[in-house]
Amino acid sequence: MTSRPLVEVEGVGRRFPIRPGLFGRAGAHVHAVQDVSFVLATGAVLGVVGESGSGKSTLGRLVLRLLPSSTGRIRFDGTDLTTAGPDSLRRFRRHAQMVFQDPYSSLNPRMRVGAALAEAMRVHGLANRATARDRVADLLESVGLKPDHRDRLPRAFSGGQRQRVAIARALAVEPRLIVADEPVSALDVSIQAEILNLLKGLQERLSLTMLFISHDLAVVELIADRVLVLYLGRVMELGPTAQVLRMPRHPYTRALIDAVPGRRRADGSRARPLAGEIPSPIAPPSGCVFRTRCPFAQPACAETVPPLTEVAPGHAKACLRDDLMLEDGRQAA
Amino acid sequence: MTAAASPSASDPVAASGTAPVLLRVTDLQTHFVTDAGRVHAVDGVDLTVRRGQTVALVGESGSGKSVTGLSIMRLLQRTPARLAGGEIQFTAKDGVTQDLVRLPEARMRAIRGGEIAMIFQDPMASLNPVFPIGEQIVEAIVTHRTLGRRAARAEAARLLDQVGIAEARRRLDDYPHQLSGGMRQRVMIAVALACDPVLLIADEPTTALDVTIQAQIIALLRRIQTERAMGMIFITHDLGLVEEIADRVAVLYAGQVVEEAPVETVLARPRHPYTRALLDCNPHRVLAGTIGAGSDLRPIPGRVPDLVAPLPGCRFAPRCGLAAAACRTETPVLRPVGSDQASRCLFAEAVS
Repeated sequence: MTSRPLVEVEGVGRRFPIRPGLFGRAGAHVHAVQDVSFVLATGAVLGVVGESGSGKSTLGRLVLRLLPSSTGRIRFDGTDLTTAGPDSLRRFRRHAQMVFQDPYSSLNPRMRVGAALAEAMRVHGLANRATARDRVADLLESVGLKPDHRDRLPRAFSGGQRQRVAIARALAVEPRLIVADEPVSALDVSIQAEILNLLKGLQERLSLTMLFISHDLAVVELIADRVLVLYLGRVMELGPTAQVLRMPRHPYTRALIDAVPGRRRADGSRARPLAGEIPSPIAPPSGCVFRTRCPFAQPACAETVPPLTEVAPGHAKACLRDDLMLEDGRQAA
Repeated sequence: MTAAASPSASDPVAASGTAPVLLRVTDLQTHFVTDAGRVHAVDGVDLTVRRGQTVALVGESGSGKSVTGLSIMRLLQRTPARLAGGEIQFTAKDGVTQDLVRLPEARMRAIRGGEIAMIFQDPMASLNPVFPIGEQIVEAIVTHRTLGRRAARAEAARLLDQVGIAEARRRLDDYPHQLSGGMRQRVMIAVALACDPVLLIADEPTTALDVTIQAQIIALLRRIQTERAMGMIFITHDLGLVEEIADRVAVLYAGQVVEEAPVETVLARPRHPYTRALLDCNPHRVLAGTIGAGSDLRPIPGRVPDLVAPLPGCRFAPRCGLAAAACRTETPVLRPVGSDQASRCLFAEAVS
């Protein structure tokens, strides 16, 4: 991990209108992401975890500028993307690519895989007709496929192979940043492990910078250096993966870890499941958005939005309570 | 008909295998007739569920776990599916044991819902979007029980309350779309419980849910199962969940049970290379503390075999690190290994 940040996200938010304003009144909005800040060093992997509706996919799209932000700033390699014109955005797009959960819907079903990869290269002027063929072959091999797979259509591949094609497609333009949104969630466990190992290997070999979005803490643990925990659009905790998962400082992170199937506390007991469900983002709770499900909530939690405060170097939490013992005594081997 | 569950059939009894047998599946064959040939989706599955016991069926896509569940319920369409062989001996509430494979459809209808209930991954697909949830529970009750609509409605409210839905009486008039995914799954469970089934088949009931909600639903199923001493078949791809809910586990691969044993045994001492491999590629085991951090995930090389024309020998051999020449010629059978464990591997004793 080098020190220079490739991506700097500062107080980024995105709201969506849910009702148009009527008779001159202001319309209602839902805040999908609110006040999120982090830096992503070159070659680092940041895992973004959260449940449905936490805003993790929206955050990924904001970083790639597939969705403009409502507030805040996003810099890529020093350039402010929030004010960038079409030309610099186009240059940015070559350097930033996305891998989605469902490769079948992100690949053109009628385009042979080789042609799809070559097209990406040509659009960005990275290869011509003559050189593309060799580069496609190299690319397919780098994701564990065979050069003669280039003549196949996406439907001729299994789910895992298709995700390999989608990864090759993202790598075709030699990006520096990859946003992977639940790239292994739709796969069987045995295939999941293959794709995770592939992504990890490619990331290390090519020193890719990665935003890895997942609902699955265990998957994030395997691939990310740092973790960002989101709940209802806000950052709950941010820090080095090992610290966040072994010594969580936010009750929500603790609850997510406890919910991992098969997990027992240090004394062998099962943790009590978190009560309730994620509230509607249309009417989020006042103060701390997690307080309605938090077993440690106090009256003060309803009054102020807890600021993200550093608890250790590079490890921050947004929780008013500093007195909680959230470790369960179990240390990793 | 109400057959209140006797609390005496508690967990330890069921787990130790002394409770009476509720369901015994022997050599089940379910095939699909397709243009490409006959797909042997379930190819000789054996399975025993005792009263008050939870048996997990674990496997990846295409292993035959869901088809096994649907076969027991006889919910597969005559075309293209065929129950091509085997027996499903089921003991109903009245103590009579019959083979569901050979039961006439009219009598099967009384079993379905009345004796065996099933819940699925996607409750939205099982609930009717144009009727309030209360009405759907009432319908299930009046179909199988001799209750008037008014009494059935009170019973529906009681069931909703039991599955953890607050202000149950008021929620009866809600439509499915007004509920969250977790709430819908609770409603599905209420519908399933409406006729006091002795066996519940749960097919990936938490796969579409967030982890914190998954934990709630698992806790709910565990409670209900214990309170009612109901038998349960829990179908899942996740070995971590198995640990949360099941007494015994049957691991399926390519339409066959490859290993069967109590959960703790399978997790601690698997005796089939496929089970071993499944454990080694499960990312949750690091976080769950079962294996140490930094352990690499070991994917299973290769692909699931063709079920139209399976190769001779062991179906897992092409992907197995332990495979020897004999594995490609000799077809292994599910055989006892140790006192309470069975494995379909020629070299079961060598698996570590």
